[in-house]
Amino acid sequence: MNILETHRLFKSYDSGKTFALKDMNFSLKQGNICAVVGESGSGKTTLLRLIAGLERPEMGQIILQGREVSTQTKIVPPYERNVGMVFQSFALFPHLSVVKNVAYGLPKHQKQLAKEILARVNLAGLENRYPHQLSGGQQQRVAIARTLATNPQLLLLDEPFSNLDAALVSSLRHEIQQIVKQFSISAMFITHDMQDAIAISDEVCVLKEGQLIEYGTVQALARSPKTDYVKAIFDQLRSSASSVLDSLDL
Amino acid sequence: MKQWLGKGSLQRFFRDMNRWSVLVLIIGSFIGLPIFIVAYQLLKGPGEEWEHITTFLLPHYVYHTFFLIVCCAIGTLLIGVGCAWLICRYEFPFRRVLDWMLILPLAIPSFITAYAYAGVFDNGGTWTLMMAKLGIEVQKIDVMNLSGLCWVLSISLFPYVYIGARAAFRQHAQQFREASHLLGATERKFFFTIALPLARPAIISGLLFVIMEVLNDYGAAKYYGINTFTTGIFNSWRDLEDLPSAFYLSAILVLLIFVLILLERWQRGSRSYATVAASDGGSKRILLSGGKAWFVCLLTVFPLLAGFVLPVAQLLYWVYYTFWDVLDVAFIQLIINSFFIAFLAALLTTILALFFVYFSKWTHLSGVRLFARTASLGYIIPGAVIGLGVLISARMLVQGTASLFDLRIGFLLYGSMLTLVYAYVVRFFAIAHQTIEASSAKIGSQFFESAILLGKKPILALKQIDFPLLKTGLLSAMTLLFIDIMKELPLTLVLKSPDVQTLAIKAYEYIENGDQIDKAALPSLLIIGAVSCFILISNRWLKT
Repeated sequence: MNILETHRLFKSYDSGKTFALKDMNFSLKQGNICAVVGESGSGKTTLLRLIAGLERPEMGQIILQGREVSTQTKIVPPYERNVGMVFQSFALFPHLSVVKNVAYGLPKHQKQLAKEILARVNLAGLENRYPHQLSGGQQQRVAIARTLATNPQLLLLDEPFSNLDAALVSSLRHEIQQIVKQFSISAMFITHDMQDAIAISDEVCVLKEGQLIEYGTVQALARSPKTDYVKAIFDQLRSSASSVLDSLDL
Repeated sequence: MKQWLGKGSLQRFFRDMNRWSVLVLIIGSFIGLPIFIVAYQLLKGPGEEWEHITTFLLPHYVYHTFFLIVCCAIGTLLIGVGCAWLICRYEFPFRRVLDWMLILPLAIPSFITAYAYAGVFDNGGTWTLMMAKLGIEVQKIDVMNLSGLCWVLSISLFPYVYIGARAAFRQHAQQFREASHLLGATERKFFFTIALPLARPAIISGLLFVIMEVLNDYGAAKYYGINTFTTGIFNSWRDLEDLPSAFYLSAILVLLIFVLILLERWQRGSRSYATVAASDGGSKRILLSGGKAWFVCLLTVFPLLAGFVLPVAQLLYWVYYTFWDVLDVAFIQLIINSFFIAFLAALLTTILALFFVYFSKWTHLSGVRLFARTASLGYIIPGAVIGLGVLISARMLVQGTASLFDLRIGFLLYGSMLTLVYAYVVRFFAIAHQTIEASSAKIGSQFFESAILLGKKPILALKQIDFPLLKTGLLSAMTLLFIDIMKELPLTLVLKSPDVQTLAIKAYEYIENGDQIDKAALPSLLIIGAVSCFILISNRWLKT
């Protein structure tokens, strides 16, 4: 079953003169992790914001868990979509402690449940700290824990690795993959680095100038890319002897 | 593609027309009503006296107003930019104290500075009395003319330019200075070719405030007997009893302000003034010593003496003689009323502006956002014009409810505190709107977006997340509003009634009644005291 479907999705920022997204059609299977790959300005963030309900499309349809959430005539507000999003800057509330951040989306702000969730993402003992007292990696895990606390069916991550040291990235890739599987949810994340996509995603969605140019499993894209653009990306990875390709045996 | 998208535009309009759009339209209409009514009045054509006004009076209004604008612009530029540069660039005795004290002339409404100056330099004034006591015979210095008015307005309003220029000069990173000196530039060349052009937007925005204040001034010009557009609006309305012509004069005045703003935008063009914050521990100042240091100190002390110390000293001198004549139970009631009105109007304006900023963000219709911008133009429209607009709105409402519902609500609107507070909200809404919008932009939208994605409805997310983060911005907006409301005269003069009085009106009434001029000192000093405290508090916030 598909957790997410988009049909003929269009989004422009200046009344139809330039399009951030054009004719976007794709679907994501329940339980899968999908990487959205593309250069800056290719429409990756816009796609995530449309799915979350933070932006409104000019045309097209978004279906979440079989329910129409965005059409030409109807928009379901973000707080009723059951979608979680981790922002690039993490957006942790600076005036709330870690545990209050995580409990924020819970009914009656249940602190005990928040503590349990923090423990599941290896942050036990940091409950009473404030966001500015945490490292980048810890902040990211708090942001993920806060989002997971509301039990979303789809987790959206906007460039989850861009604010982190290279040394942290590989361990966090693994952690995110573990957390998503542990909570039995689906996820979509944005990256401009194909290595991130190969390392943790089941499916990859490649965007260029607002259009979806390729979509499929990592193996399928690597073995038989349909466009020169994707072929060039994999050729470059092969020439740099990337270890992530070795893991896929490609 | 555009044509194809256009097909569903009506459907999208109804899809995106949410309750926030409706609320923005309601608040915008509430704020913009007097402005729209003034615009509507223009369609009816000028009144009977228009020909008389254009033939005999308008040339004077135009000449005096332009003279004041040009001279005050030059005066405030020289004093404001000069002081800001000296304070930011050099180290000299009392620099730290002067840094914040130079803002204090803003605490005195210009009509109070004007009459205090007249009290010092008039026949038998403090200056001639002091000199006579010292046995020195001096000639009277006549300040009650156009040049005197220019001086009074310049020395009262230069802090607007000073604040902007000081902030801009402080932002100049040390590396700009070092780079320019390494390239062989002298201090003078650095000032004219780098520092001044970089500070230009801040200086010009301060200058626009000065010009708007000059155009808004009524009390000082009236007291000095100078006919300007604003005194002309009052003359047409009160003396000539020709309200339509008063609206026509107002329209010319507003048009003039629009032209000035457009000129500034056009001149700025697409040049970038992005500044680099001083991340290297701030700018290093040149240490002055000996005579040079004291000379620079004197240069910066002079505007403070002329713009604050001299008028306050004159007022204190008057208060010494009139304190017990003025202070009675009615006066204490007036003080309480005045502070209450200012506080209430500041609070209401801040709350409305907060909701307006956020509702505008949550609406997805660009047309509604554009309307929101238009409705918050109040601050560029002079107080007298807003006052007349509110007066007409009240009259229309009273007549409308009487004829439609047979309801008599005149007692609620004519000469009431409600109408005055509403007029202040309209007049100063833009200040609160801009301050809160800037604070909100600084916080960014991601905290709010996170909150709504965590299942909170927008109002709850605003209350729990953005509101605590906005507290300083909201307090800052309220302080700025309180300062402006306490000082406001022309608008209050239009809407005053025996039941609704403010300290500014009381001071003006004493001044207008020539033989009681010294009694105006106590209400004036109370305004100055309250406003000074709030200016110092807000200056502290701006720094932090």
